[in-house]
Amino acid sequence: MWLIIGLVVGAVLLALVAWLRGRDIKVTWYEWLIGVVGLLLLLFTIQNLVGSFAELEPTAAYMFLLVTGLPALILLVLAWQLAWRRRRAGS
Amino acid sequence: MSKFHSTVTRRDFMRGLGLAGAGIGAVAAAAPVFHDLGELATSPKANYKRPWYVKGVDEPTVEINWSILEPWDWGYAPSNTVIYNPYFNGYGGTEYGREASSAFKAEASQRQTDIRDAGLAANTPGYALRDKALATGAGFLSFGSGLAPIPFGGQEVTTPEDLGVTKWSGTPEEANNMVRAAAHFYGAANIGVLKFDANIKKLYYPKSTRWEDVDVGYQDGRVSVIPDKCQYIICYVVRQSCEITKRGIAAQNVGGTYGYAHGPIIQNRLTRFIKALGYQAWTGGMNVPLGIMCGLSELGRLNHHVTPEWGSMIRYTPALATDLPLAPTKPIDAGIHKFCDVCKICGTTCQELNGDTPISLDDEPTYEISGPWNRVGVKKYQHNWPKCNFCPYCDGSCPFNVHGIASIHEVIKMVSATTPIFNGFFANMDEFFGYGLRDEEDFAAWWDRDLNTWPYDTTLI
Repeated sequence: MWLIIGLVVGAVLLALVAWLRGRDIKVTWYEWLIGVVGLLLLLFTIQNLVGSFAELEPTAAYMFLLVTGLPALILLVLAWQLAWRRRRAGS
Repeated sequence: MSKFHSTVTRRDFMRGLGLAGAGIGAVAAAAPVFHDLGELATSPKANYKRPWYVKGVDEPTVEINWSILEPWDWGYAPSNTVIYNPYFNGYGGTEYGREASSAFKAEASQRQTDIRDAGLAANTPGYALRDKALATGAGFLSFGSGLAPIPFGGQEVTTPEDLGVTKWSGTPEEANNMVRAAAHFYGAANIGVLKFDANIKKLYYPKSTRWEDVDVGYQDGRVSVIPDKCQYIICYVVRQSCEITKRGIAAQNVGGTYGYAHGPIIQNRLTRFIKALGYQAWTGGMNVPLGIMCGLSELGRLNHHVTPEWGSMIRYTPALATDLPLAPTKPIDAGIHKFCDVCKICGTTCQELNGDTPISLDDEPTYEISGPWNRVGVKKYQHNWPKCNFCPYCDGSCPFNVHGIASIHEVIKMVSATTPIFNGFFANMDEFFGYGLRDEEDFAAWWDRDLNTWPYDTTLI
């Protein structure tokens, strides 16, 4: 399962890089860093959400959505917004 | 064709294919492949590999003063237990607050009995007749009761001599792997090995064990005589269902009973195995200290084993003395004993549900015993045994008891084994995230669990 997830994530990242190049959108190193951290946190959240339900710990599962899922979304949105607003300011 | 436009160049596409192929190849290369049993026996992957943060150490994490630690037994004058602890779960004497402790225990015991009786009468989930029947069934062969009498040293088996072959030989490491592999098949999740010395012999009950320079062990009345040539001890893990133990005092909690039913079965299987190899195997010894000394666990605040793999969810680690040459395994440090300094969840859960607790809630372990029911010479959280109802509240609430599917558990174990500074935070998060004993709504749901996917019913647990 994680092999498939890895392949999918890898494919999505390659597609994203290709799309950014096609649109000539520049992403700074710290925007990449924030995005990658957000993505890792999101994957961590998904694994623990699913795992907690499998462990019969629904309270823990929902806590992961709040404690790590929300920060993951914030980081991903932040990375996107930083790149987007910088591009808009430059154009 | 002019209507089609791809943003992926041919170079990028081939690069992506190559990366994916390299990844798959790396995964395949990492998988172990054995061509025969000999290769398996000597392969490091055949050993029970523990995570990197579980370190072998020369001394156990619980501090022991061997110069003052002496053999201990119930009703044994040298350990001052003739009056204070004449037999298992029996206490006397007026010092050490014994009477008040025993009175509390009696009251707590009665309260729990009343809860169970009321639950049975009201058909409350977890306490209903079918739950009680589940416990009755799980108790079959518990502590070996119901088994035909088996002599000390096990049943007669066909030996290599009977078969006209020499007894098994190999390196001690190969012997460890082999015994562990067999023990796992028989139901013991892991084994540890000790070598007898003067200190390890103190961890056997003096009233029921002695050593002699004889060829074969024997039973002398109530005393088991182990031959001096049996220099090694195999301790094996008898697991306990984590999921079912989280039922607290409900009748549905058959975790302990079930473990005690598996233990004698595994013991006799392993004994027969060792004898069939051409060696001897003799039972005896105190499972908790022996299991800690051979690295199966660390000592927890609740005075039970706490293992890095299953927390306190092992029932016990019985021992077999043998003359099969084995490789001793070291005690471990996985940060567990240190975690207990700040955690206290076992004690506070017991206190909350029983009104008081026999578990020490001190901030640091001590050599000062709470009474002769504790043995002198161990710096630990001294348990007030006359106060203990032997209920499973503490056992089921340890934060190290996890099913291990969510990755957060491994992260926390890794960090707490490396540094203790986050231990208090982790203990608080255990409660914040709702881990611990199950609620009553889970008791009824257990009977309707999806048996196609339920992973928690196996003979190993």
